[in-house]
Amino acid sequence: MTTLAEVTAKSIGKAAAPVVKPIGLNRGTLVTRNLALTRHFLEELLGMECAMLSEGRMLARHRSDRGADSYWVLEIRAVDAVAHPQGLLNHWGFMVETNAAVDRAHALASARKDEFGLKRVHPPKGNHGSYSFYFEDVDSNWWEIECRAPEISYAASVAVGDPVVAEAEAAHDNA
Amino acid sequence: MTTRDDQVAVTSFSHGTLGLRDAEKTQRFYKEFLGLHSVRKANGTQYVWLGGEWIIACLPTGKAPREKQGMENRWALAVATEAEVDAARAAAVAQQAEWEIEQVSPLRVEGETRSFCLQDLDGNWWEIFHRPGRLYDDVFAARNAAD
Repeated sequence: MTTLAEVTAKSIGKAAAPVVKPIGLNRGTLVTRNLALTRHFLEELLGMECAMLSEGRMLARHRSDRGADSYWVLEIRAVDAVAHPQGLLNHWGFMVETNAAVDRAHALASARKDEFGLKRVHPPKGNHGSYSFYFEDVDSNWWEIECRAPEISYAASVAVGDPVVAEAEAAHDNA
Repeated sequence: MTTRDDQVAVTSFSHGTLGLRDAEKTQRFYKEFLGLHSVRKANGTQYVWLGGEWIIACLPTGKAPREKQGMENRWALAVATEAEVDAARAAAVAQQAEWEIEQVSPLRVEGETRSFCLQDLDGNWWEIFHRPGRLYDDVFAARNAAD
């Protein structure tokens, strides 16, 4: 299976001389009014590891992260009020292996909705070769549980470069 | 990696998403200013990444009124040195009009972390930071040692 590391090594999609030369895109941030509840949800439903960075500030990573230079962490800050509630188009996505695992995840999220303070759990549905569902937590952060066929994994999609990606997805949809 | 029966069988934390209006213009900013890898699809969706096996899916918002993000919802890019943070901020200020950068925050020094944030042409926030060592490894190692 194609990996993003392989795609990156080929310099696909990269400018020759950018102004900023970052070494990693490795953190996203969000806020919560209840850090303990967020930690409970991330650890108990999604199986993430959480660690306090300082008072009111927590890091979360998934166990699949390898550490060192290969990191993707969430930084979660406690706030009194959520100034910018997120919409579904701003969500955090987690991959599972099969469509059945998506259905099972949906059943788990629905069954434990009150325990985790989830506001909404949408039904699973297919979209351009992926199968997923979305849910909204108590602070209006949105999350997705998704299964993608290997041929349209994110790495495979970007590996073919700009103009061909849509054709690959269309071919999958029509298969 | 095992998953408990009462947990979602997650295999990876794979992506985050953001909204954008003009995929071509935004892609130029991502690639030529921020230094990200970017591939754009025909429908305007754009995939952005740099290091690791995760990606940002940038979704077109069409002509709907833009919902600007707050700085508390941002993406963070690590650079190799403190000097690169300063140079990036200087460039963001000098080229603010060219890239339609909406805001550039003051430089922030917190402990060993040096950073600033900018709000791009779509209202999304990016942090450019440097911190020596391996903060994330250290934090999780300490957490695991305490367990």
